[in-house]
Amino acid sequence: MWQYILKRLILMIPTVLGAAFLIFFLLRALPGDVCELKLGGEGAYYDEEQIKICQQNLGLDQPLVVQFKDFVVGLATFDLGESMWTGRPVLEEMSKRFELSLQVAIMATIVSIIISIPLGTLSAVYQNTWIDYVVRTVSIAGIAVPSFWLGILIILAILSISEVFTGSRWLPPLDYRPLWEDPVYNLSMLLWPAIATGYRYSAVATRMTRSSLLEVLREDYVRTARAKGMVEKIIVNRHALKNAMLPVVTVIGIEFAFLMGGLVVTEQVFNLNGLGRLLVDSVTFNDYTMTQGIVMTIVLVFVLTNFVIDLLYAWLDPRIRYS
Amino acid sequence: MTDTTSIDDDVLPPPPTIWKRIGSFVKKQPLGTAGLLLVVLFILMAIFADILTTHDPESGEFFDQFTRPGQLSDASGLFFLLGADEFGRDVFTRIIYGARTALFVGISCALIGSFIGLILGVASAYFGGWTDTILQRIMDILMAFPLIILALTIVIASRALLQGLEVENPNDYSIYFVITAITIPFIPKCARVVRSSALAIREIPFIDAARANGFSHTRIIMRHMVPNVMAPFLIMLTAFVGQAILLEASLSFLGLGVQEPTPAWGLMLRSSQEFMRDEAFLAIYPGLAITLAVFGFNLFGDAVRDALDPRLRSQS
Amino acid sequence: MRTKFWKAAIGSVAAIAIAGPALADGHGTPKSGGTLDFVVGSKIPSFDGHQETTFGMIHPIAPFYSLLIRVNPSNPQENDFECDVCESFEASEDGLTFTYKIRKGLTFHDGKPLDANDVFATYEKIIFPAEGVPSSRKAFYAMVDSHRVVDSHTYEMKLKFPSGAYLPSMASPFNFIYADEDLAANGMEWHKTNINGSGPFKFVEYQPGAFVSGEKFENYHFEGRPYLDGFKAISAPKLSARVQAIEGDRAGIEFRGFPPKQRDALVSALGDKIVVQESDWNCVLLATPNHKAKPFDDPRVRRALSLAIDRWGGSKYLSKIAIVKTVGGIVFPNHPLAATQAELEGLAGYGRDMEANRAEARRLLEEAGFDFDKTYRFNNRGVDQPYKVVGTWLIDQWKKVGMKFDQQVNPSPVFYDILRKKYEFDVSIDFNCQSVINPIADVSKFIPSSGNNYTQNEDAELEQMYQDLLRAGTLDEQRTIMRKLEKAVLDEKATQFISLWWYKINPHWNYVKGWKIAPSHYLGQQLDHIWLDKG
Repeated sequence: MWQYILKRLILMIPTVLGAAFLIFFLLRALPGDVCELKLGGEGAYYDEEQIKICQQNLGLDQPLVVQFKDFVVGLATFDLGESMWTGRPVLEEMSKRFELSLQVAIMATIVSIIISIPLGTLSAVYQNTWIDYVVRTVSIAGIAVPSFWLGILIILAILSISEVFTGSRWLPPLDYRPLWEDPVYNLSMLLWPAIATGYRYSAVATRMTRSSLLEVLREDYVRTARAKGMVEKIIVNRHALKNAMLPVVTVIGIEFAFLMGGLVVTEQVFNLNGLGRLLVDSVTFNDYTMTQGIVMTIVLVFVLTNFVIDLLYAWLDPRIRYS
Repeated sequence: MTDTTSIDDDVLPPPPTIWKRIGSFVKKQPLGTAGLLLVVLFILMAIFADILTTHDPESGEFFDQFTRPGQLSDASGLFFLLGADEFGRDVFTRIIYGARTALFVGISCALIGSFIGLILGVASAYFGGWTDTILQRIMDILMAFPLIILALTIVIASRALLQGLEVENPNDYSIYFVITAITIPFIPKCARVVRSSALAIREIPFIDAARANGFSHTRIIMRHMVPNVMAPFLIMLTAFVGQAILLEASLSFLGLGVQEPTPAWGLMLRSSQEFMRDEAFLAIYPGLAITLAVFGFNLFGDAVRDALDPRLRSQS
Repeated sequence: MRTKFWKAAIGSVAAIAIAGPALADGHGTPKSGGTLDFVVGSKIPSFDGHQETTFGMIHPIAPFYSLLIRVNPSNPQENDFECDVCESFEASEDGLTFTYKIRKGLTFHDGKPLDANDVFATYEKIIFPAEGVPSSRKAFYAMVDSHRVVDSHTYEMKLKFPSGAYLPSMASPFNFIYADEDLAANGMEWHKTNINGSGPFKFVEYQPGAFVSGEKFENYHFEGRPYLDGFKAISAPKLSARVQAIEGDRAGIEFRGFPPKQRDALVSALGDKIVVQESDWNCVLLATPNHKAKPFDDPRVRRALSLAIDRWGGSKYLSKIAIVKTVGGIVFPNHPLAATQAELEGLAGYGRDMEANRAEARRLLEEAGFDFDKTYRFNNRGVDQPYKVVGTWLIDQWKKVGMKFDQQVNPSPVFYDILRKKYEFDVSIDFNCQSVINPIADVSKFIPSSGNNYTQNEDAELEQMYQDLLRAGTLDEQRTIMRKLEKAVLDEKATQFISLWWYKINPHWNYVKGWKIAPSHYLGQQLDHIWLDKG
């Protein structure tokens, strides 16, 4: 097992380095300049001399090789530098946003697990009955509805419904407070995006639960159990479901990793100050250090999630680690 | 030649007619049939957009702005089935023409992405060794890399590039960059799945036998490997269409996809968001169009999967 | 060359007061207490006012700082300058020496005393920064020769030449007073991430990208102010989120401005709970043709571009969906130097008879041998309000005379790159947006040699006219030359075009009192004069 873990860890290094290389040069290939935006972004008179000063201060006048070396050395020492737009350390800029994105991702995962596992099981057990068709339709719809559109509709509904019931319009809070400081405030803000993204997420997981369970239900030991006259409910709950969970866990893991930086559009709709929004802003402001920091964080989350999934697989199915 | 085939025809039982096949598909896959109908509907909409609509999709008159659905404009007397947007353009017309954009992006992304994925996946499995290792690392990087960054950088860079090339209608080309941005993340997804199927086939002795007989790589790959990974390939292909339509809508919503005044559903949602308090219809119809189209492709894709995946087929 | 030009430009401008519409009431006796939440439609860059140029910094950070002098926030429509940390100021007879008496007993939020040394250190950083120290508006102070501390409560500036632009520049809302000691001990970059001012509010919390909050500063120099106990500036980059924030009372006000459709939505949703203030806005979108790109080197083609635009119709319909409204020439509308309605209608593309305008446009295009089959490149900025809306409108207007343009909506960096460096456009959106109203300086935008003119044009006549304008002594003279310049730019030479002037609309909750709309979203944002009346 240890050997397997080590092997998987070593495999992560080229991925991370490759991503670092890719993001660094992709950004430099883009036109535009953070200093020009800073000084002339709103149509005021702008001064070439000041642009030069700004570029020198940010190290943008250094040769690319030097900049890249600084970036990689910084990565290795967990020093991501300072944002070119705000002058604050990238890690400080990211921390609160990371917290928010993480919470939304976790809540969406919870929403999705609560919905998907019972529904997926029902759908598999009652395959090709109306129950199956309803569940499948609902879950395929979940994949088809753009979650940002769902978000827009949810906000419209909240405003209208709160007016009907309370007489004044209620809107979820706009500024994030951590869960442990003010749980009600926090949840009343993040519940809605969690539902909007959780629906899509649960649709993916429901489908995986269904197909994976169907596959397991065909396996020999389940047939044997049936032949022995075991009650169907026990078969499903005790044997089949457990074995069918592996692909479901994979899907949930991959979706989770995706949510950490992939909620860009939903964050816009709900005015969430998350990693996705920061990422888009940083790219459009030519804030190299910040973009690099976020991209590397997201890549790391993705790689680590996959690592954990692989370990889970290896742990559940010993054949894998020896192959 | 003709003789032999005619003899075969006599010997073999008559193949099921196309109608019988369709009949059995409908019976076995009621959801898939519904999906197929939706898909066909959207394809027809895209093809016959010019006939189905009477308004100009890209231009309107200001005095028609925000005409409500199903009403005649006070100013011009024109009829707007699904209302008029902030520029007085007919929403119905833009949704119909939007199907063109969506299907073009959706289908081409899915085709290109899964095709490149197929080649890379099969090559990776067939050649193994260093080729496999390097290809897999590249796939890892592409998978880990946030899609939005790829899309953003490609779209931004392409804008600058197109302006520089002095092409005649840069907007006509920008859609290809949107397609590129959406296609790239599909490649590793498809390559992964194809590779694992292909690995299983690679193990089968006849491949080695074929190589020993001196058949070329191309011949072995095309004759023996590719046909055997067709099922996962087609499953990915159909699944990608819906995903690509959604991604295009998201990118357009962020202002990174196709550009005004091109009719595109995501773009319509983007501008509608500003007016949705009073003109909710502007936000509802394009969203419905996206949902229905993706819904249709997914239903159909699921049916294709059920029909092609032998493990699941034995089920029903 | 460019710096010299600029010097001349602001060197002879007279500060002219103008009156704009004031729809709101600031009546009633101010009450103390309460916290004001407001939304800001931008990301907050660094906190350093001397470096930054955006309202995204001004709105949340200005309340923490004092200025030397400022535009009177209770009378922001006029260039009415009042003392902030100064007690009084006076100019010498020759207009070359300005002496400021600094208030006594002032402190910074951390308790350090504030005196003339701090004012000196601040302006030293702004006007005479050491090499490598950024100061974005350094060029505005080209008329300043030297400054010194006379005694701890007297600060003096000497000018090289008398200049009407001096006081408007000194009243810039970006000139935060920093503590001498902070600069000496922590360096010139410290204020990018730290706040220590002497303004009405003390810094409390900053959550990167989300909000900034402040609380009342007890030792503030204006007696009885600030009225608020505190404020919270919440970042909400998307317009719809800002409108919803007001609708759901998560915010009392947004200070930049909403489009009319959003105003109407808020008014219809909340009725008389919403007060609307409106004003002309010292910002305008232009269409800048590239004079080096054929066929836009031909003035007939450029003229046709302007003739095709239905400004009066646009004013009516576009103003329902975008933050633009007023039809105007090159000067801020309603300013004494601006064209009258009749004068405007004499310019190409401003005539009321659109059919005739368009027929004339088609005739000119035919005459110039314009290629109606070709599609031309229109560079636009990927910002909805008002860039994309106005851009889409312009293209539609040009289509009506048969000119085909492809709109390239670019992210800001690409947009600037194309407009300012690569010149890869046939026509581009361009804009001019200033804080304190100063038409003679602001119209420098239209002079080919100025730093922010991107037409790639050279024109000695325009340069001469501008020099004449700078030397013109009386308002009448300035007006005559301004008309000549306007006619040349917009009509005869057709070098650049005005689309519509921006129109600032601020709907806010009726409990927000004392705030008066200014013709610029940079002015009047220290919030010491605002109070809440929640009944």
